[in-house]
Amino acid sequence: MIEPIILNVATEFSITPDARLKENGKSSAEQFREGVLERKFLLAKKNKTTLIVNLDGAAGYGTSFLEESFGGLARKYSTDAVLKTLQFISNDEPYLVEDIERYIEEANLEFA
Amino acid sequence: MKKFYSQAKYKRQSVRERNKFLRKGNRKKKYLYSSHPNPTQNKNRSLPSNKHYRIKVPDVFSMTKNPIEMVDFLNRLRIAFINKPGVYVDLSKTKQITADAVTVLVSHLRDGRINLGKPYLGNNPEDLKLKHQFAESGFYKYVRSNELNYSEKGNIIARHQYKVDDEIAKKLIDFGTEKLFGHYVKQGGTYNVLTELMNNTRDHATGKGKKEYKEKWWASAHYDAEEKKITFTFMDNGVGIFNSRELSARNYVFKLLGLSTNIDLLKKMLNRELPSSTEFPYRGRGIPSINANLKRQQIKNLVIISNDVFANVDTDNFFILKNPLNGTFFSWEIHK
Repeated sequence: MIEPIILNVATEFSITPDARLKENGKSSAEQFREGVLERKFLLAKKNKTTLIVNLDGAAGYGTSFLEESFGGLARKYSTDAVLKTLQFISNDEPYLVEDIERYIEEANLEFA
Repeated sequence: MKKFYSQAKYKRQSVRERNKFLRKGNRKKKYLYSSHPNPTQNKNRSLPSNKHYRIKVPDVFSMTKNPIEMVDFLNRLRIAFINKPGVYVDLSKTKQITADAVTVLVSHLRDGRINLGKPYLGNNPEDLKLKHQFAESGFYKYVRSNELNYSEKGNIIARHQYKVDDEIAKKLIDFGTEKLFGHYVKQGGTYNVLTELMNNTRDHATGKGKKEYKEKWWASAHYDAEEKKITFTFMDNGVGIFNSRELSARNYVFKLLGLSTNIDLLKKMLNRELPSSTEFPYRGRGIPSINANLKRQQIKNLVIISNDVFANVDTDNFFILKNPLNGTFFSWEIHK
């Protein structure tokens, strides 16, 4: 059985994630998703294992950052694929896990 | 025959008498701070000009406790800069000051669209305790001053920026929690609030179709040793929440007919019952997430003032302001 892949946001990306888009901040969700998250996600998917994203250790997370990172991933690779592959650890702020899962589920919503 | 007053002889006499008057020191220095150096304006900085328009701040100098008079004062300040050659801000008779008002005052005095490059002067509160409090607020970091002994023991005011600045957000939280708890304590709620507000200013504060101008924001943290709390303030002088979004046809008609107000819109935004003002349905989560931070008790006493709405979301006190605020103001607290 292949070991799950771990991604620690604070140590592998930034302890102060900020904006949604690259043009708006130094540690944006777009940079995180394109530079770190996507690579590990695809590796986990290829190896049929889980990607465990550890959110602890950062100063905090903006809603826009989380939505663009994980919702953006779901818009590119589908909600099912992302929910099947990703798991989250968030002992500092446990409610973030539920929030992120909701962002992933609603990522491909259209206006009524 | 030439009139007397235009003769060179009169002019020389006038200059002599004026210099004599100034040497006597009859005009005492009554100002303690002035505008940031602007070489095109007010070359004689040693004395206040008698053309400066004196504008008195409200007795209760606080956005959260006295929003109506404060917003009125800010609007009068704007008008004074438009109509007068300079402004003198009079804090001498103030009876109460809160840090949020100081942050807002700095944001207005340092905004070129408001001061129009004109000089401004001002004084301290006469009350010693308030004078000390004002000096500790960090105000003097942003104006020229004769007061050399100011400190920032109680507060910092971050530099204005027009991006989402993660370092400033962390710096404010570091400062606040060091004061309150004696060491850094993670404040995920406040970090979310700060970064979301910065994002919103960046994306929405200039209004529709004016993306070439980047709106600035101001943020501060103030430590209150008596009440053992940190108050965070965020301010931008943009178009305000309700002027930054287009209404749906239904909401527009309701508003036109007086069946709904901006208070109703704000309540819907807080509960994510209004779609995003962008074209993307998955957006519009910023203000609802701030409300969620409040419901989780990660922040307390959340106050929002924007356009014609005052809202203390914590106490469910919402009302319409007769004179609207040009911009967006948020204030919240963390307690020990």
